[in-house]
Amino acid sequence: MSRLIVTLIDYLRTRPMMLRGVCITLLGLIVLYDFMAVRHGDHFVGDRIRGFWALFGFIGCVGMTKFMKGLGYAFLMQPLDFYTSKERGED
Amino acid sequence: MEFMHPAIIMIIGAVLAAALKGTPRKLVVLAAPLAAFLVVAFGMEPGTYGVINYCGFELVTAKVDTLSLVFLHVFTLMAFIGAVFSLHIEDGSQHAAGFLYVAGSLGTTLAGDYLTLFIFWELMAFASTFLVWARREPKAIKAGYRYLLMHTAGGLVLLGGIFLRYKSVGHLEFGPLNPAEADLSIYLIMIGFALNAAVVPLHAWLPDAYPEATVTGAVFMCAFTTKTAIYVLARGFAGFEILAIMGAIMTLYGVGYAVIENDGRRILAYHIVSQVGYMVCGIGIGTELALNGAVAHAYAHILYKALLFMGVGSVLYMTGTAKLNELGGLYKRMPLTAVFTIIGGIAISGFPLTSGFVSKSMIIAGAGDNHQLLLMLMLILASVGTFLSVGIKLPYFIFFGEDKGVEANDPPLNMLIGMGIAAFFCFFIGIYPDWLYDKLPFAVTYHPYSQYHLSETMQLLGFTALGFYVLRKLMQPKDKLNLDLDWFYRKAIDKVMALLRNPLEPINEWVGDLYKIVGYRFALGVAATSSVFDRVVIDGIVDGLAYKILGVGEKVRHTQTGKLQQYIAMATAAFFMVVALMAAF
Repeated sequence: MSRLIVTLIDYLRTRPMMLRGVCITLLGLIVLYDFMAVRHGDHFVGDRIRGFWALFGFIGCVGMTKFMKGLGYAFLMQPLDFYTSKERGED
Repeated sequence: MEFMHPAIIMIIGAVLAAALKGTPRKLVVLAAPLAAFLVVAFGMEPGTYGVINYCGFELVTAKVDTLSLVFLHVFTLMAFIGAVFSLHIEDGSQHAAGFLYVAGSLGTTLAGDYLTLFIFWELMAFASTFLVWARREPKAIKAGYRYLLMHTAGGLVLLGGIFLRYKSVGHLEFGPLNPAEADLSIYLIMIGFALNAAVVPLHAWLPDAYPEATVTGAVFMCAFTTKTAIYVLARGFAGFEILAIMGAIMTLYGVGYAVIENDGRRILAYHIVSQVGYMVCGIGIGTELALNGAVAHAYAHILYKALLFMGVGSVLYMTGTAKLNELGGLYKRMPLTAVFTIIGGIAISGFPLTSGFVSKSMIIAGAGDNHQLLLMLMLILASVGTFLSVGIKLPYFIFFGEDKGVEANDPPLNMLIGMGIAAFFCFFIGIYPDWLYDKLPFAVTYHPYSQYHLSETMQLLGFTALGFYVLRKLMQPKDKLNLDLDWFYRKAIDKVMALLRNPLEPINEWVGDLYKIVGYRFALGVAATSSVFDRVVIDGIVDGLAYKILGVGEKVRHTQTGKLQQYIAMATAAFFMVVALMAAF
């Protein structure tokens, strides 16, 4: 079982172009499916736009990453001994 | 049918697990949670059991209904999975602490009154602290103390709320509360519960302590504290709008930190804040659909979050680190762990055919149907962050990415079986959601597998993955500490103390010097004068009074019965009087 998993992953990792092609095709099919899906739960304008959630997902992902990394570099990220160095000083 | 309290089974299991060794202990470790699960699943009917009259209070130790049953079901199932995962542990105290912790959770879930609830609530806090300390590293010891202090503070706020509530309503029954009648007592109880549910800004204890716990301890901890808090909030605080808002904030706060964290278990800990946020939000919305969603999500979440903690815990156990920047390429050496962790990752992200898909969407639909559009969009955005940080980032940097050559193997068989059981339920609930829906407190009319829901989910997940691919260089984890609100009690308090110390110390010294010069001589003068007054006036009165008091004391001595029960009753009454007086003023 373990061998099979490793072989399969190795097979995919040695074919990045094929993997990329499959993923891009899948993304296309997902958006295409949205044009055919029966819609319900019309809560707001986004529910009426085809492909809206694809855009929401991509922008949300990029926006959240940039925002949090920005906050991290601005002040959130500190050296690992940020608390402990002070504690050592008190000991 | 005789009622058997599952907490008693776990307490007996804890005692035996601590006392026994070798194979007998292993049998107990497996048998106790299994027995508790069987009692809950097959031997428990709705009703009220174990009513005790104590000092005039009616304590209900077991109130069983659909809401408590579903939580008991998943708690005992999780206790069994956790026991299987930790079977190899030789340290009996860890098993005992884990089982007492579970007993606290089960006791809280069955409590029909606030006093019983509080006792089991505190048992949970104390027992779980030992799961942090059991790691026996300086960082863990310190984190354990901070964890205990935070929970003690939360417990005291809860206790204050309980006393005030008793004063205003005259009973201790724990049941649904009306948002329109909310007063200070209700808000204090809510804050006590909210601290355990890791509601922002009372959440910092969670990502502080959980990553420092033992590998197996964290698996228990991720399941019980926050979800027991969700149970008590669902029972008492359904429809409190503040919870809907705080819950939605939690979902984004948790994933935000998970995006930038480097420690695998800290990523998962922040994710608990996020996932519990969905449940808190559902409870706050308070409609039948949203409440069902909150309960279903708690059930599903316990299993996939435990699976993730088991997966990353196995990596920590086998390699000695859970830091993403030190790991990579482990799929070659830990393939089964990789598969189980990825299953946990896709379940938490809400992939179709997994448990997250059928539970999370109920809460989001609950927000939408209740016309709370902003909340709905916040929850959906959080699900994007969930897939980004736990569905992709976590497994990618541990099992794929650049191979750092860390030596490892898949963990012992019992750990793999524990992960296997949890992984099975992630798919089982996703494929057969009615099994879970039938246990929910309200009848379910919701159908997760609609075309539009499938389309919406696949778009969100697919294009989040595209976002990760585009930003994969930026996503590289950094070995840094991320500031959170624990800064206030770990750092800011030092600054406050320093600020107080600087002006206060010189003033103190100056007053001391002044006293030596002026006060000492003045005091000697006053003492000489007063000694004359004492001899002449006071002694005469006091001597007479003293003989009277001796007589009264002799009478009081005879009222001492020596019965412990009466002493406790008197002490409790005195305590209540003090609190009542404080409340009155």
